[in-house]
Amino acid sequence: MIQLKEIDKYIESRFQRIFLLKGIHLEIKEGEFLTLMGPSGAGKSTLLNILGLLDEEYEGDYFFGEKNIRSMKERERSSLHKSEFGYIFQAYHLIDELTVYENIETPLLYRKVSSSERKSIIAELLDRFNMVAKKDLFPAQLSGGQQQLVGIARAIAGRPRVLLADEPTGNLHSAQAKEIMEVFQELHREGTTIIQATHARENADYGSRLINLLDGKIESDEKI
Amino acid sequence: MLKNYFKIAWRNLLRNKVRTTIHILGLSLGIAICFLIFNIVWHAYSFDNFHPDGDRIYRIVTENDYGEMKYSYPAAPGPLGEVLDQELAGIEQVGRIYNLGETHASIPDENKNFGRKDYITFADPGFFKIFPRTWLAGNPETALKEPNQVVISEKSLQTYFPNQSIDQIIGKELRFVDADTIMATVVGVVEDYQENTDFIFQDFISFSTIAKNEKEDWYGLHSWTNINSSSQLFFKSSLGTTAASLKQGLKGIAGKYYADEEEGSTTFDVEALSELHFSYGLINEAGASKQLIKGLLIIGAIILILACLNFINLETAQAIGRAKEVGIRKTLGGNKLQLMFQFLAETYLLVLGATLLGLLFSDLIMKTFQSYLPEGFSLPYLAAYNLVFLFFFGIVLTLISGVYPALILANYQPQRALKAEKMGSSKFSFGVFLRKNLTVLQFTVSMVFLILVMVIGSQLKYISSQPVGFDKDAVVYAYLPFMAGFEKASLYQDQVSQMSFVEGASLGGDAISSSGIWTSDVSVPVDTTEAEFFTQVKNVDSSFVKVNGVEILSGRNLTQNRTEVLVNESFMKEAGISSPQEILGSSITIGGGPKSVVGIMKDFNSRSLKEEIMPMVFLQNPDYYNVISIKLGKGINLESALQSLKESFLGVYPYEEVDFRFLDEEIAQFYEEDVRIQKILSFSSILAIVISGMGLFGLSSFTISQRLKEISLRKILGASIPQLLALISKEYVILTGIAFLLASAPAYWLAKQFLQSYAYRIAMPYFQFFLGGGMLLTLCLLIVGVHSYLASTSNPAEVLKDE
Repeated sequence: MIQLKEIDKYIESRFQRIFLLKGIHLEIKEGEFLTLMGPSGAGKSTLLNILGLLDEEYEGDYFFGEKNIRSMKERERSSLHKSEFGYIFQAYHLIDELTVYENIETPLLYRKVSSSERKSIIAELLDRFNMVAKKDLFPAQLSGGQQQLVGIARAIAGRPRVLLADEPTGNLHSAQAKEIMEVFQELHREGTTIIQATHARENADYGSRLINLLDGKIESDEKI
Repeated sequence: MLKNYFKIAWRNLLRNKVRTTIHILGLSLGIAICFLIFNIVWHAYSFDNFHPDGDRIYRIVTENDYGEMKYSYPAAPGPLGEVLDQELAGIEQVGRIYNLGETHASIPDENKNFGRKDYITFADPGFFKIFPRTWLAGNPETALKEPNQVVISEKSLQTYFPNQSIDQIIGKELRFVDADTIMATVVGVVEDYQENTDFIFQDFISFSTIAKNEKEDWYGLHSWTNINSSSQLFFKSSLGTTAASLKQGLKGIAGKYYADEEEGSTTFDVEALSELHFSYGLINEAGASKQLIKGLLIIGAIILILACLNFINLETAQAIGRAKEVGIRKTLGGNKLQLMFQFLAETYLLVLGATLLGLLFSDLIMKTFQSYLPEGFSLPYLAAYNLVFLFFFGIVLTLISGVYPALILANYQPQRALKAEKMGSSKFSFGVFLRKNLTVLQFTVSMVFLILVMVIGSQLKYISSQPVGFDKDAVVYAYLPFMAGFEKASLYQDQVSQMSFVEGASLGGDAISSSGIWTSDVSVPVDTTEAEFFTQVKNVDSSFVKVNGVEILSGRNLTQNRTEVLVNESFMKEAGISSPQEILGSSITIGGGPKSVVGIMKDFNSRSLKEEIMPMVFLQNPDYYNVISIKLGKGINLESALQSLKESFLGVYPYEEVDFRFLDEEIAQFYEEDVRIQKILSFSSILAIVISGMGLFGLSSFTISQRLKEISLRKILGASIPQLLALISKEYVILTGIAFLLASAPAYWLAKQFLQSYAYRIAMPYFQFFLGGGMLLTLCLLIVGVHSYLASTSNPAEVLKDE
C-alpha cells in the first residue's frame, strides 16, 4: 500500500548537508501495525511526517497504492491526505478553544460530512471511548489519557486507512499508556494500518512489525 | 462549518479580552468617523436631486474680470432674463427669480402683522415650469402671469391663515414691505418640498410686479450693468444641448451687450443644478464647502488607516501564538483557504462588534460637533443607504485588516507550527520589519496632528492677546432697520445716551470691526502732486471715536461738520507723508467731494488679523447710518441693560426686531473657521493618539512577554530593574525618534501654510515640535514602561521553570 524508494531528507547547513534520513526503502502493506523505534534524532518523526504528507521537502519517491505522490496535483494530494490519514501526537494537540465533541467534529467538517452523519459518527466514537459525559468539556478539563483518547477518536473519525502516531504515549503514565495501546490493537484488528513512532519497547509488542532507525537509516526490520 | 468558524472565533475573542478590547475600540473609532463622514457627504450630495430633468437645469453665473481681480457670482442682470430664450440656442425654458430678505409680511384686511420674514421671492411662471410643484389650490397655468399675484407654500399658509380652508384663501390680499411696498393677491398654494433642497422659498410673488419700468429705481432690472445677487436666472436646456455649447452661446451674448465696457470685462457662465448646493445659495448664503468635505474625507481615511494598521500589527504579532492551532487544523485536513476563511470570520465578528460600538460613538461625536454640521443633518441609522454602506464597509474593513494576518497564519507549515518553531527567525523577517514600520507610521501621523494643533493653538492665542487698537470688551452694537431714516436713528441714539448705564452711543454705517468692508479711491495732495490710492472707509458720527476708544495721535476728533474726516497712520504712510502736520488741515478728495483732514488716528485692526491694516478714512454721511454702537459702563447688570435697550428700540421702531451683539463676539467670528479647524484637528489627534496608544499597548505587551525569558536570564546574571527598563525601552525611543523625524517635515509644511494665512503671526514655533514629540515619547514610555516593569519584576525562577 505504501512504498518508499530512496528517500533522502537533509538540511543544508553552512558547510555540509546534515542527513535526517538517508536511503530509506520501505514497503508497508495494508493492515500492518508498524512500530518505528530508535534514539532521539534517529529520524522517526521525520519519516512519519513524510509518510503522513506533512513534509514534502525530501528526495526520492513515495508511492501510495499505485500512485507516485510527486506526480500528484496539489488537490489530489490534499484529498488523499484528508481521506486516508489520521494523526495522533505525543502532546495530543487538541484545539484548546473547542470542546471534546467539537474537536472530534473538526476533521469531519473539513471532509464536508453532512450534519446528521457527523452526529452519528461522533456519538459512536464517544460511546466507544466512554466519553459521552465528557463531550462538552474543554481539553484543559481532561486528564492526559483522556485527552489522548479524544486525539485518537478525532484521528479515526474520518475513517482513515492509515493511522500515524508520533509517541502517542510519551506524555502518559503506564496505565494510561496501556489503555491507549489496547485501543490501537483493537483498531489494528479491525483492519486499520497503524504506524507508530515510540521510545518504549513494550509498545512495539502490540504491533506486527518493528523497524529500528539509527542516524536516519533503517537498522533492522523484523516481524513480531 | 460557518457556524463552527464563528463559534471558535467567539471563544477566541472571549479568551483574549485585552486583544478583543483593543481591536473593537480601535476599529469602532475608525468606523464611527467613517460612518459620520459618509453621512455628511451623502447629505451634501442629497440636495435637489429630485427635480425632473435636473441634469438639464442650469443657473446663470456672471463673472467680472478686472485683470488682477476676478469675481463671480450666481446673479444675472435683469435684461439677460428677457433675451436669453431668444438669443441662446438650446433653451427650453427660462425661469427668473428675485429674492427678498427680511421683508415685512402682513394681511392688511385683518390687520395682522408677521414681522420680518426671509424666504420670499419674486418668480415668473417659467420658474415653476423648471421646478414643478404639487399644487394644492390655484391654477398652475395662469398663476403668477399677472403683476401683484402671490403663490404661497403650505408653511406660509399655516403662518398667515391658520385654521382656514385652502379654498377661502385664494383671492386674499397680502402686503409685503421691504423698502418698497407690494400688494399681492393669493392665487395659489403649493406643497413644500419634503426632500433636501436649497429652494427654501415660501412666498412667490409674480415677477412681472417688479419688471415694470417704474420699479427700475428699486430693483434695477433694466440695466445690463446692475448685477445684484438677488436677481437669479435659471433655465432648462433642451435635450442634447451640451454645457460647452451653452457657454459658447453666452460668450456671444456677453460680447454683444458689453461691447463698450471700459474697465474689466463681464462674461456669463452656467452652473449645473448639482453644483448649486456647493455654490452660493438662493438667498446668497455660502454653500457647503467641497474643500471641507475633501478635508473630512482625508481625516476619515487617515483615522481608518490607523485603525486598520493597529489591527494588522497586533494580529501579525500574535499570529505565532496561534501557530499550533493552524498546525493541528492543517493536519486534520484543513486547507489554506478554509483557514483564511476562519480567521476572516473572526475579524468579521470583531468588525461587527466594532460597528455596533462605532454607531454609538458616531452619535456622541455628532452631538459634540452639532454646531459644525449642516442644519437639518441627522444620522438615520436604519436608512437603506446606511445599511448598505455599513454592510459593504464591514466587508471591506474585514478584508483590509484581516487578509494579511490571515495569510500569514494560513501559510504556516504544519509540522513546524506544531513544534512551535520560530518562523524564519534566522532570516530577515518581513513581519517584524513591517510591524516596526507600521508603529512608526502611526506615531508619525499622531505627531503631525499634535504639532499642528499646538501651532494653531499658539497662533489663536497670540491673536486674542494682540491689542486691536480699540475698546472691544464694553461695546455692543445693533443693526438699525434698513433705510428707516436718520431722524429715527438719531432719536434712538438720544434715548440710549441718556440711560444711566451707557457711557456713549454712536451711529455709523458699520461697527468698528466687521466682516463687511467699504473701500474707495482717494486722492491726497502731496507736495505739488496728488497721490491716488484705495482706502478703507467707515461712515461714522462724531462720537464714534470716543465710544470705541480709538486713539487720536494728533489733531482732534470730528465735530458735526460733515466735511471733516479722520485718517489713520497707514493712510499717511500710503500717501507718502511723514509728518502729521503736512496732512492736517489739507483737503482730500473722497466719496465725490473734498474733505478736510482734522486728525490722525492710531492704526487699529478693523478686520481680521489675517489682513494687513489698510489706509482708513472716517467720514460722516448720516443718510447711511445703519448701526448703533453703544459703550456700556462698568459693573452694570448686563441682562437688564440689554432689556432696556431693546424696549427703547421697540419704542422707536415698532414691528421691528433687534439683536444686540458684542464687538468681541464679532471679532471672534473672524477666526471661527480656524477655531473649528483646531477643534476638528484636536479631536482627530486625540483619536489618532488613542488608537496608536492602544496599538502600542497591545504590541508591547506581546513583544515583552516574548522576551520574558531573556529578561529573566539577564536578571539572574545581575541586571538591575532600571537597566532592564532601559533595555526594553530603548527600542521604542528609537521608533519614536524616527517617527518624529518623519513627522517634522509635513508638520512644518502644514503649519507654515496655516500661519501664512495670517498677516500678523507668530514665528514658526519649533519648540512646540519638540514639545509634541516629547509628549508622545512620554506617553509611549509610560505604556511600554507598565509592561516592562511587570516583566522585569517577575520572578525569574517562575519564568524559567518551564524550560
